[in-house]
Amino acid sequence: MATEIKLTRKDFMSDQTVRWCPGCGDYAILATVQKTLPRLGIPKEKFVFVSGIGCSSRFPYYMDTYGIHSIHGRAPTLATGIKLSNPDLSVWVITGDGDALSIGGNHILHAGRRNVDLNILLFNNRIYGLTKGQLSPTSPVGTRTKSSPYGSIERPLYPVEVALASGATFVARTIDVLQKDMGEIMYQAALHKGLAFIEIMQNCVIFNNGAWFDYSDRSKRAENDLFLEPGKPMVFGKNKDKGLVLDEEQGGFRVVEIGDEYSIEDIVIHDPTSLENAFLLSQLTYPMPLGIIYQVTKPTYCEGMWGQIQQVKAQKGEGNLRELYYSADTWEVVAEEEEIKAEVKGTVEASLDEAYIDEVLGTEPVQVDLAEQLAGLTLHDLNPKPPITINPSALMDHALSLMKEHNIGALLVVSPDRHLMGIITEADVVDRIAGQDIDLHQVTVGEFMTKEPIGLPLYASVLEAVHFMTQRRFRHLPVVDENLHPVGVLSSRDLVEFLIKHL
Amino acid sequence: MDLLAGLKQEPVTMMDLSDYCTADIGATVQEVLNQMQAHHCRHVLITKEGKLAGIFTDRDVLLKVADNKDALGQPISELMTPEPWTLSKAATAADALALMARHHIRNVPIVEEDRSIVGNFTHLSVLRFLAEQFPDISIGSYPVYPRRFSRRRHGG
Repeated sequence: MATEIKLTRKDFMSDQTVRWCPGCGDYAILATVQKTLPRLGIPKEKFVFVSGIGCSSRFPYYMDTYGIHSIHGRAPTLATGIKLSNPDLSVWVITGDGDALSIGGNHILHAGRRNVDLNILLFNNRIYGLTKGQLSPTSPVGTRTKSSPYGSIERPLYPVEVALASGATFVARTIDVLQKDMGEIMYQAALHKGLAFIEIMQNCVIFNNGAWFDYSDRSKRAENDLFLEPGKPMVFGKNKDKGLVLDEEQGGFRVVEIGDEYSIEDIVIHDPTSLENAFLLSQLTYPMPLGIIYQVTKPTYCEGMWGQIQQVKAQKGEGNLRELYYSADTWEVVAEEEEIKAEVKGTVEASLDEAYIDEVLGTEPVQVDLAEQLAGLTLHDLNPKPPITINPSALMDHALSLMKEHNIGALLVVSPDRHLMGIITEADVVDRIAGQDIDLHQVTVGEFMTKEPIGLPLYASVLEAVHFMTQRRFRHLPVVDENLHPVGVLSSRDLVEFLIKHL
Repeated sequence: MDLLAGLKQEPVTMMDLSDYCTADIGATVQEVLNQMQAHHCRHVLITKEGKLAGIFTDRDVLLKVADNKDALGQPISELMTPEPWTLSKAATAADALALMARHHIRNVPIVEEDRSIVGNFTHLSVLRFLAEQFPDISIGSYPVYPRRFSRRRHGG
């Protein structure tokens, strides 16, 4: 059914200059990814690469796919969101030992725990490279760096161990120098449903050169690397003459030579579905297990989430966000009504009759704490009155007539293109007009207005307005939209009347 | 904190009642205006022998004085509002608010039994009470778009 998609490595190469140091192991990983993706038969636009911060996290720039160079340590979380909202995508997380295990230590755990269908590539160079060489959480004990001048005293984390513990369902390890193996593992990871985690041992040529020398160097790797193959005995060495046996006493794997004492029959068979086997392998450094260490199938996060949504929809119908939003807890504040009424009755001097007090104060129980309600209100909720506006070149005479006509204390002065330029209030009239030797037909609003008044946006909180009115003694606050066009005037009366309405 | 209960229990005398100045009933409109300008005062309680006799506000200035120079020489008693609504010291904030709503007024002078002045309950009294309930109100809790501040005190 699906039409054959023929992509090549070139299709995944972006036009960006790669800014890694010459000789960096990252180049090999980039090339391998670019070579592996075409094998998957997935259209280019279905790939997303999400990275955190670090050298490795520049990766998305160099891939001609969708990608996000995101927040330090948070790439797995961002990727979870992407995968969840669009499960069709093939989502890849590019991270490093610092980004994933230090800054994002918590985020990587939860991606694993949830078994999100992601492919996480952790570039492990055992150093902070981008910040010029400090200790990373995978640096071995004794590592001397700028931040550990006398050698690290910290037990390093083993990424594979962390991934297994968190619940990842595909855990593998590879090394930058073995591109063919790396490509195959990436291919398997991409096919895997669930969280695929690949630790890639990578050389930082500048700040931690040779960190993996024992496993990457041509002369040494045959002796030190254990290439895992499912269903095959775990043998290694140039002549395949060494292998792993289970040491019941020590409780772990032990290296033995195949010969007189041990035969190939004694060597443990690699079973990627065994978590025990995987944990034992994760703690080995000699030999270094490379390949797929663990792989099982378990329900993924997306399946669970979408399944649950479908199930609930079938039971309850489509959701309604608005209803949900307004269904928040409310509670009754039991007003001490009797007492208060009595007090009111006994204290009012002016002729306030009881019926009126009841009318104003109301007799129904209070539903919501007014203070809380106020704190959550915006100017929009108070529905400020539309402004009466005037042109700055209008005569003061006209301004006074307008204020009288509408019986208001403030006019907003707006330019012909509707920008708020000033405000003229009864305070201005008292202070600078009344009693002065001024011919109101000769002076303009522009001369007397307060220029560039504070304009609050509709989404400003009511408390903010209270602040301005009390601290700066404003009685009128212009309310403006995002273009600085006035949309209303909030007066102290509006606020007081709101309070009265709720009394 | 229950704001409603607070308003109903708060005696007006505990609130900020300072939003006023006073003038004698014998003063002219010009004299009262001078005083309003000098003290940036918006509400003037007019007294006769120290007792409240009337009230004169900036709204009166706007409506009756601003474009009428003849008014300046008149005695204030001609233009003030005589016998304004008042409350006693025993009233609560809720009482004062109810009175404001009922008569659509912005000032409720608080007086002793002999009508000597205790203070003036205004919108500012209410808003200051509110502000006290939210001591952590701070500017900038949201991205204000036009971050502009008036250089003068009389912004609006």
